[in-house]
Amino acid sequence: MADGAGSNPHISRTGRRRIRKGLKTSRHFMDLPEACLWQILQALDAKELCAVRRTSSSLQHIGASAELWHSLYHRRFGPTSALSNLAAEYAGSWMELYADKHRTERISGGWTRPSPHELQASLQQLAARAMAAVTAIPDGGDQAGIRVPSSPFVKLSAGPPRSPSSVASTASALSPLDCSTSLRSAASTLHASSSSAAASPTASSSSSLSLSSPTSLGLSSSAAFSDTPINPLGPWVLRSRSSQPSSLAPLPSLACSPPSSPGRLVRSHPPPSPAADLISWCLARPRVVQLVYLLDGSGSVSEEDFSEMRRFVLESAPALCNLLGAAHTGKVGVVQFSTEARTEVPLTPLGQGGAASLSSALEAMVRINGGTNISTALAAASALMKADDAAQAAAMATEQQDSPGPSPSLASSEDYAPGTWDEVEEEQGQPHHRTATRQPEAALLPGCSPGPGSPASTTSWGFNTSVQAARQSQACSSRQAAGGAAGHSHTSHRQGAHGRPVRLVLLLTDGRVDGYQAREARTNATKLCNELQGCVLAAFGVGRGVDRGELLHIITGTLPGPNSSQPAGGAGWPLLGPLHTGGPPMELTMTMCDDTRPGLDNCTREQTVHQAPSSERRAEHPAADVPIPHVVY
Amino acid sequence: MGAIKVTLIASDHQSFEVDVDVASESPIFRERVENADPGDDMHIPVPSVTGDVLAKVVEYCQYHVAAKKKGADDEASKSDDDVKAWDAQFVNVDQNLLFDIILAANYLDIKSLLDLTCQAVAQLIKGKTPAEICKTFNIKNEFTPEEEEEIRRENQWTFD
Repeated sequence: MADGAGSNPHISRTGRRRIRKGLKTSRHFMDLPEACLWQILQALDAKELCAVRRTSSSLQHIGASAELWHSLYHRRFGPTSALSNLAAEYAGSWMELYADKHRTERISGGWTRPSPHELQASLQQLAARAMAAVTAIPDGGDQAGIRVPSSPFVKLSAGPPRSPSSVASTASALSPLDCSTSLRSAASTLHASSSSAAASPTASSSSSLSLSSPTSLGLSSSAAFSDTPINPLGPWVLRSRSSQPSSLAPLPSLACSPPSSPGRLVRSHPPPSPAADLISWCLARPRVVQLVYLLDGSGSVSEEDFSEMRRFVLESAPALCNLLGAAHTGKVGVVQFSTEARTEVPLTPLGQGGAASLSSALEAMVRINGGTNISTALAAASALMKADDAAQAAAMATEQQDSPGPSPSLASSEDYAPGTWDEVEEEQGQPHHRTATRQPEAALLPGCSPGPGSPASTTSWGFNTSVQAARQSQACSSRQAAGGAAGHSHTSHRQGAHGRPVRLVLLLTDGRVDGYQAREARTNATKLCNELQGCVLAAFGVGRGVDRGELLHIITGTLPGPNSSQPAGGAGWPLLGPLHTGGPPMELTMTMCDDTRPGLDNCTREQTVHQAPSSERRAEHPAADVPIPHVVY
Repeated sequence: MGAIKVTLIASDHQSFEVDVDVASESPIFRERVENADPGDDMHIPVPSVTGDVLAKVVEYCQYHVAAKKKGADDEASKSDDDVKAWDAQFVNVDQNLLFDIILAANYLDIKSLLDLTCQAVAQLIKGKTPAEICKTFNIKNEFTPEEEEEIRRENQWTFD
């Protein structure tokens, strides 16, 4: 190396002389390029950043950068996940999610609990998963098969709709503008994905159902139907995000917010998300929704935890039903279990006072205070749902006897949701008459795909403006609520299909079980999911000392699902949309992580990995040995 | 063989003759050097940086290049603490110069220098109230009282 070069700077004499000389020009902080300002702000903590944001509008703007807050979030709360991405969407920005969590942490006194937005996000993920599970149920093998009348739910045939040209044209006819228009008009925009896209995470992230890109719509194997909803409970807008998989998603979409509205997401220009697409699509088809909550009333659960569970049920049930497009018709059942299981509330529709009776039933519920027999609880859940299916089938059989034609009472049965699957097939040129023996759709809601053979009024739905669609949806909702009297009139000429029930079992427990109990529980979990196809099992840990691993183990089961070849959940689809659950922020002592159910294997496993971090943050509170809830699918 | 020298020429024509590996701390300079034909005289104009700022940049690069040469020559290798102390001293300059160095580091793409100086500015912000920050950087607060109130509310949570 050079002799002496390392130590002796060869600055020219002129240079040396001027080094310490004063500067002629004066620089201002604000002269720095944004990238530099950004880098400076990056070195600050949340409080300091907020202080800087209060100094000038451009700093306010830069200081709202999603990247900044994303990294602050990361620093404080650990790696982000699909769940936190979604929660950030709910919150409006990473900054707001940070604040959300900050506040939650402040009041949670060392417990790990989800912030309100995280909870919203997890519910939506849960809803998406439930939907995905239903749509992913494979064909029974017989395309033209007639379903067993006595139990329409037994044979959930119907393969995923293909995407013939008719669908493609439907999709392309639906310009992104249609959708954004409807979004702007604050109507929920629903559009559909084909179930094939829905069934495969890969497809849904790559071929995606992007509203913002006509090209991707046109090219993807997706059917899109823009419709309006059906959303009696509130102004939530399902949004969707364009193509990126969620892991890449967080920043770009959020980062676009500052220009027009620093610090806030511009909610009116949602990026499309495959999961939202899926949900929307499903939403457009009212279906039976069965939610069964399994509440751990064992001795290891404290009274306080128990009331948290009650609150969770009360707040999440309407939210989930709403998310699943069955705000009034979704049935909720509650089982308390300890050494034995006790049905506190049989599956009851939420509408027409159902919510109130649910609430009072929960109030009146007394903790059993015994062991933790999860397997019994799972069996009880299964029994509840089967009983409901049977009642449903019986009701329909009666109707069929009573009225060979269009059956008004079908809709009045209220929880029964016709018109979910076969329309798609019909539209796609598959056999029309496979379900000929079954009753017509009494309440075909907007969003049912306009099939070639369907009436003009139906066909037009897919192409309506949002306003029209909204009107129609209102009309349909009210029809549905009012019973079948009106509902059957315009759809009576169609032979409808049974909607597959969306089944969701939510296990709320501290997960403290011994090996034997765990094995039993695992067996029953697997059985439950095999018997009731499309059933999604989720668990939330409540209380201290949740045995997360064991709980996951139970929920994930061991047997491969019947449709493991068709993984139904995308690894953390980004689901968007503000959901108004109403009510105060949840204080359930829990966090979320998720995993998969048998049958939803592949993708959800990934998600476990993906999301686990969000559930693993701190348990510094010595007593709060991480109450870990698992949303396990 | 002597070290190859590069002459950097600032906007005000001050020139700085430095070793090629010192200049190479900046990818911009490095590229120039690498693309130069043998025999070219290595004069690199830096029109957007004034001499006093370029002097600081050169000083920084020289120190760090030297610090990286572990125990070369008769000098003991510099410890991390030494380097940190030197860096701290280095950025202990007036605000204007600091901002100028940031701009130069940004322009010349010297990442470590940019990090160092941005960190230094961040230090000036830390622990200050919005009013103090405005004063420190002479930022004019152009918010209307309503806006002020709104943004105060928006950020209230950090102070709860």
